[in-house]
Amino acid sequence: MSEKVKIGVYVCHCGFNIAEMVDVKKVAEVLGKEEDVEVAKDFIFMCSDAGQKMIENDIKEKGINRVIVASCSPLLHEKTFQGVLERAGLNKFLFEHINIREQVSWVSKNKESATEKAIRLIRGGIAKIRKQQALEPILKKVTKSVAVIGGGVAGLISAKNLGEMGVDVTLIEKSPFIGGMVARWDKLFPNDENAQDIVRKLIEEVKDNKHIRILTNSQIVGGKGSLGGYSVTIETISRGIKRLPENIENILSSCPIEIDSPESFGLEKRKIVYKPEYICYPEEYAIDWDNLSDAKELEKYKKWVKESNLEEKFELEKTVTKEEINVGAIIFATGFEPYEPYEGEYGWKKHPNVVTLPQLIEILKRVDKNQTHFVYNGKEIKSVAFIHCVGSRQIEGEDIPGPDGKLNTYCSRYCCNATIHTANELKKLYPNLHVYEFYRDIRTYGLDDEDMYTKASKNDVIFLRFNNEYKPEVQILENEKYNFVISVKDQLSYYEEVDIPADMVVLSVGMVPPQIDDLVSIFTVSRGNDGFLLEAHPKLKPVETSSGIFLAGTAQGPMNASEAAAGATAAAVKVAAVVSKDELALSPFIARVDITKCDATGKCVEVCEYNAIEVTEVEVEKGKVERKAQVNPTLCVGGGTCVSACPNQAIRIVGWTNEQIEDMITAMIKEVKE
Amino acid sequence: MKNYDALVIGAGISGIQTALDLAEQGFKVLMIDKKKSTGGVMIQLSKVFPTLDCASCITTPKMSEASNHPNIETWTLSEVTSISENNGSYVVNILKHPRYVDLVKCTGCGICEEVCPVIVEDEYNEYYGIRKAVGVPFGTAIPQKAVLEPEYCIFCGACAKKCPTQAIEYDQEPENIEVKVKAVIVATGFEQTPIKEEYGGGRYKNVINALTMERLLAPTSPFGGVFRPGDGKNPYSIAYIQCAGSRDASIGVPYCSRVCCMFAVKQAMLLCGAAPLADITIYYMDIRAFGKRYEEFFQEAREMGINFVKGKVAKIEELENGNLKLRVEVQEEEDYGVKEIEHELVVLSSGMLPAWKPEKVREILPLEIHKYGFIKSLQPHVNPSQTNLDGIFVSGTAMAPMDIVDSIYSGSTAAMKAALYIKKIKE
Amino acid sequence: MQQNAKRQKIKTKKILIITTNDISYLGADTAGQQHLKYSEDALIIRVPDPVIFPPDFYVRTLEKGFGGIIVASAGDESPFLNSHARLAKNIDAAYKIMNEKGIDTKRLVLTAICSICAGSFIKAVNNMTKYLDSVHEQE
Ligand SMILES: Cc1cc2nc3c(=O)[nH]c(=O)nc-3n(C[C@H](O)[C@H](O)[C@H](O)COP(=O)(O)OP(=O)(O)OC[C@H]3O[C@@H](n4cnc5c(N)ncnc54)[C@H](O)[C@@H]3O)c2cc1C
Ligand SMILES: Cc1cc2nc3c(=O)[nH]c(=O)nc-3n(C[C@H](O)[C@H](O)[C@H](O)COP(=O)(O)OP(=O)(O)OC[C@H]3O[C@@H](n4cnc5c(N)ncnc54)[C@H](O)[C@@H]3O)c2cc1C
Ligand code: SF4
Ligand code: SF4
Repeated sequence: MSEKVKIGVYVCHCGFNIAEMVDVKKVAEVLGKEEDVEVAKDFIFMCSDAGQKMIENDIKEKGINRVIVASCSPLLHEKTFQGVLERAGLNKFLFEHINIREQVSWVSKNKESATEKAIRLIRGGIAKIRKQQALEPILKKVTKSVAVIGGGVAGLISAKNLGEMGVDVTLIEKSPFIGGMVARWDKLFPNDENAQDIVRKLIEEVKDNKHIRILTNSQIVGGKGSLGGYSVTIETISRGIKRLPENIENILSSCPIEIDSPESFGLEKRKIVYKPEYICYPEEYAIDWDNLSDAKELEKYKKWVKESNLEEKFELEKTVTKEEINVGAIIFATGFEPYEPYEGEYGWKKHPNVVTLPQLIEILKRVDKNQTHFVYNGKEIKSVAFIHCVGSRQIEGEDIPGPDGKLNTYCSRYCCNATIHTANELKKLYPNLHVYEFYRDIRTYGLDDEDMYTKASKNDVIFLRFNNEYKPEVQILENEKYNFVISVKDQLSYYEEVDIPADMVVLSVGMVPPQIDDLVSIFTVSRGNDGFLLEAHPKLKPVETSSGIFLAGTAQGPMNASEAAAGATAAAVKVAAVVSKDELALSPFIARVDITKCDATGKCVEVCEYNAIEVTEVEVEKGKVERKAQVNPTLCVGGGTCVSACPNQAIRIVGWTNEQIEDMITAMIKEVKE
Repeated sequence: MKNYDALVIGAGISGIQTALDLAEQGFKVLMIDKKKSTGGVMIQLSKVFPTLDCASCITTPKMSEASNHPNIETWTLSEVTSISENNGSYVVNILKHPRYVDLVKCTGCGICEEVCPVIVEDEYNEYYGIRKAVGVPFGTAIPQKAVLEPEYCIFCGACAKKCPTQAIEYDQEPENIEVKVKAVIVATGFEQTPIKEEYGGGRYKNVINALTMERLLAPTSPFGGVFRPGDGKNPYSIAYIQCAGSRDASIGVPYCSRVCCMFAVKQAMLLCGAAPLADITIYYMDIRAFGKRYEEFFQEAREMGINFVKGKVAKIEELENGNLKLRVEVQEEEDYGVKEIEHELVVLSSGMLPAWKPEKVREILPLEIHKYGFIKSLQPHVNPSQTNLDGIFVSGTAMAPMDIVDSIYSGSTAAMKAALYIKKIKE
Repeated sequence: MQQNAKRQKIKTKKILIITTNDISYLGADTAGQQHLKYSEDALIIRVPDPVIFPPDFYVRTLEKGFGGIIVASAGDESPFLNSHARLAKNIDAAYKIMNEKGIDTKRLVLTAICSICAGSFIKAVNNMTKYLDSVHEQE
C-alpha cells in the first residue's frame, strides 16, 4: 500500500457542548499543519447530515484516505462516521474517533488547557491512523438456531416469536416446569386478565410449534463461541418418574419427606414428589432432586421408595444427561426472584401473619370465596397493612445492606401496581376489611394503572405516606384484639405519629436478580450495580449486551409482565435479524502472528483462555513446513493476553498494534506550539 | 402502484426503530411523517434521562441510519388520507404536501434562509425562536433540505434568485400517491396537554411547558440559555408543577403521563448547570421514578439540593413584575397547609395526549381506541403492539404514554409482529 | 526496593490513562456525562485491554515524558477472561524495572474502573495529579 496518506481531521462543536470549553477553530488550525493532514475543519454538528456530507465529499473529492473525527464519545457515533466512510467508498477502519466531549470539554475547567488537551489527543489519533491498514471483517457462518434460557413469560414469548418466524429454538428451563412467575399469579393488574389463561395459551403455542424444543430440568453448564455460532452444553436432570403410579396422591401421603413448598412461597408443605397446582408444563410429576441433595434425605427417600415397592415407578437417584447443541444466538430470559426480607424486617419471621405480597396472592387463591370474612390461620383478619418498597429504593445510611453488602437502590417497578391491585381485590372480597397502605410514592404509571389507585381510594383503602428515614414500625402485640400495631409519621396528616392496628402485615417485596453466576461467567455477560444483566446501551442497544448475548424480560431489571413481553419480543426481532443472515461480519480486531518472528515457544497458547491459538505445522514458504503459532479467527476475542506473553513480539492485535500505540504516545507528549 | 412490505406512520423514535428492525430483516419499508423532519419529539429534547446523553446524539444516528438504509424510503410532509383492505393487502392513499423545494437539487446550504425577508416563529423551538419562511428546519433535521411555507411566503422571489441550484419551485402541487402495503404500523406519537385555565391557560408569559424548557436547555437554545420568555431576565427561582396536565379527571386526563416526573428531575439537574444561581422547587404528588436507573437518578437530584415539595398547586396568578404567585397545598413537615409562594418562572410538567386524534383515526381506520384516546392494545401482556385489526400494529406513545426506552422496545415489538404477519401473507 | 539508584526526575505532569474499549473507557465517559472535573493533563487512550503491553512499555512511556500512568483495567468486569490477573503480573514486572532504573513506582498505578465507576475514576486521576504536583514542587 504505497498510496500517500491523506488525513482529514474533523472537529465538532457539538453545539456549545464542545465549543464552549475547547477552541475548536484553533484545534483545526493547529492540526491542519501536521504532517499528512490534508484538511482540518470544524463544524457545528459533525453527526448531522450536513456534517456527514462534508466528510463524504472530502473523501470523494480531495482523496482523503484516513479520517479523524473529534467529537463526542465513539460509543455514540463511531458507527455513524464509519458509515460515512463506507458510503464514500473508503474502508471504514481507516477511521479514528477522538472523544473531546465526555473526556475533554465536559471534564475541564480551563479553556486553554482543554484546547491543548484536545490537540494532543487528536495528534495521538493522527499517529495511530497513519499506520492503520484497511481491514475487512471476518465473515462467520451463522448457525440458524437459537437457545432461549428461562421458561417464564419472557422466554416463552421470545421462543414463540422466533418459532413462528421459522427459526429453530431450544428453550432451556432450569426447573422441572415452564411458566415462570406469571404462572403463579391469579388476576393480573391492571385489567384483571387471568394469568393462568395467558400462560396456558402461551405454553400451548410454544409446545405446538414444531420449531421449538422445550427442555425442562435443564441448565447450560458450558459453552463456547460467539454471536453467530455457539456450542453449548446442556445438562438435563431426569424427572425421576419412570411410570406414574395410578393412585399417586395416596402413595404420596406416605412419603416421609416434606418441605416448605417453594410453589406456595413457603406457606404450605409438600412432598418431595410433586407437581404445582398452577398452570405449568409438562403437567407431570417430578422429583425435587434439589431438596434431596443432602445424603441423609436421599437415603430416607430411597428407603421409602424401596419399602413402598416403588422402584418400578420412581428413580432412586437422579440421572444426569448431557448434550451439546449448536446455536447462532442466545437469549437470557432468566427472570427475577422476590426479595427475601431479613429476619425482623417489619416483623418478618417474627409472626406468621407477616407475609410477603406473593404469599398473600397465594393465600387469596386458597380462601373460601363464599366466606364474607377474611380468615387466615383460623383467625379472622379485620385489618391488613401493606408496606411498600420492601427491599427496594434503599438509601445509604438509612437502610441495611443485604448479605452481599449491597443496597437495592432501584425501584422494583411492579410492586405499587401489584399492591394496589391486590388491595382492591381484598376490598372486593371483603368490603368491611380495613386496608392500609404505607408508601413512599405511589407509582401507578401505566395508562390503566392510575384508575386502580383512584378505585382503591374510593374503596376506602387508607394511604399513609412515610419518609424513608422514618420507616413504619411494626410492633407485635400479644393477646390483644389485633396482632400488630404499626406506627408511622404520616405525611398526609400533618406528620403526626399515627398508630394503625392490623391483623396481617403484607410486605410488598421488590425484585432481585436470580443467582446465575455460572451462566454469566460462561458467556461473560456484564451486570449493573443492581445485579441485573446490563444492556449495551439503554437506548441504542437496549436488549443487546457487549458480549453478544441478548436479554429478555426481567433478567434485565424489574418489569411487569407486559413490559417483559415487549422486551422479549424486541430481543426476538434482533435475533431474527441475526439468524436471517447467512454470514455475520465479525470484528477484524483479533490477534495476528508474524511468522517471521514466531519461534513456537507456545507461551501464547498457555495464556489464551479461549483456546484460540495453537502451535501447528505451518507452511512458511512453498514446500517448507515449520511449527508456528496460529490464530483461530472465530474463537479469538482480541483481548491480547498473548501479545505481551510472546517473548519475540511476534503477536499483535490487528488495528491496535503496540507500534501504533507507541507512536501515539510519542505524538501526544510532544510540545503544543501556537 | 408502488408496493412495500410495510408502512410506518410517524417517524419519531418508535417509528424509526420499527422501520429499522423490519429493514434489517430484508423487508421493504415506507416511513412517512407529517412534519418536515424525522425524529419526532425526541429530536427537540436537550438531554435525556437517566443517562443525560444528549438527545440528538442518540436520535441522529438512528434517523441517519433509517434515511440511508437501502430498505427504507422516507417521506416527510406526508399524511395518510385513506386505507382500505384489498385481498390481504392495504391500499393506502398518501397526501404529500409540497415542499416547494426540489429535494434532489437542494444542498441544504441555507442561502435561501439568509435572503428571505420574512420572519416566522419557529415551531422546532416551540415558537420561542425565529426562523424564515424558507430554510432547513433545524441543524440536525433529516432530510437536511429547505422547506418553503406558502402561508408565510410573500413570493418576493429572493430565495429563488439566490438559490445556487435553482431548487426553489413555487409551483409544486400536493401529490396524492397510492401505495400498496402488507402491514401498517401506527407510530404517530403524542402531543403535550394544553395549559390549564387555573395555570393561566397559556396567557402568562413566564409559565411555560416542559418542552419549551427542553429547547431553552438545548445547546441550540433560541435564547442562548435559560431566560424568562417574558422579559429575558435570569430566573432566580424556578418552580416545576408536576401532573400539570395529568392525573386530573376534570380535564379528561385521569391517567399518569409517565415521563413528566423524570423529565422534571432531569431538567432540574440540567438547570443546576444552566442557571446555577436559581433555586429550583418541584411541586409533586408522587415522584414516579420507576425505570431502570431512574430511582438512582432521582436520589442524585435530591442530593444536588433540588427542592422537592409535596404539594398540589391549585392556581397560579401573574404579578405585575411577571412573577407568578402559586397557591399550593403543601404537605411538608416544616410547612403544612395552603401557602402562597412566589416564583419567577414556572415550568409545567405537561402530560401526554395522543397526537393522532381518535376522530381522525376513525375516519381512516376502524381501530379500537382506548377510553383515554390512545390506540388500544388488545393483548397487553403477550403482544402489546396488537390492535383489533389484522395487519395493523401500534408502536410507541401512540399506544400509551411512555419514555424513550419503552418507545424503542415498543418499536421493536411492532416490527417483530409486523414481520411475522408479512411473512404469513407472503406464504 | 533499590532506593540508592539515582532517582529519575519527572519531565511533565502529563498523565497517560490507559483504558479498555468496552469498560473503563465508559467509566471515563460516565465521569464526563456527570461533568465531573479533573486535570486537563490527563490524557486518555483506549485499547482492547492493557494486557497487550509488555512491562518495558510502561517504562518507555515514562521516559518519553509522561509524569504518570494510570492503567484503568476493567477488573472483574473485563470481557476477557483472566486478563486482569495477567495484567497485574505485567505491572509487577514493570515495577521491578522501574526500581532498577530509579523511577518512583508511584508513577504507575493499576486500578480497576467499571463502566459506571465515575467516582473511582476521578479519584484515581486526582490522586495521581496530587502526587505529581507534590513531586513537581519538590524538584
Ligand atoms: C407478587 C408479584 C405480582 C405480580 N403481579 C403482576 C401483575 O399482576 N401484572 C403484571 O403485568 N406483572 C406482575 N408481576 C410481574 C411479573 O411476574 C413479571 O414481569 C414476569 O414474571 C417476568 O417474567 P420473566 O419471564 O422475565 O421472569 P420469570 O417469570 O422470573 O421467569 C424466569 C424463568 O427463568 C428460569 N431460570 C432462571 N435461571 C435459569 C437458569 N440459569 N437456567 C434456566 N432457566 C432459568 C426460572 O426458573 C423461570 O422459570 C408480578 C410480580 C410479583 C413478584
Ligand atoms: C418535555 C419532555 C421531555 C422528555 N424527556 C425525556 C427524556 O429525557 N427521556 C426519555 O426517555 N423520554 C423523554 N420524553 C418522552 C419522549 O419524548 C417520548 O417517549 C418519545 O418522544 C416518544 O416517541 P414516539 O416515537 O412514540 O412519538 P413522537 O416523538 O411523538 O413521534 C411521532 C411522530 O409521528 C408524527 N405524526 C403524528 N401524527 C401523524 C400523522 N397523522 N401522520 C403522519 N405522521 C404523524 C409526528 O410528526 C412525529 O414525528 C420527554 C417528553 C417531553 C414532552
Ligand atoms: S414500585 Fe412502588 S412499592 Fe415498588 S419499589 Fe417502586 S415505589 Fe416502591
Ligand atoms: S409522571 Fe409524575 S408528573 Fe407525570 S403524571 Fe405521572 S405522577 Fe404526574
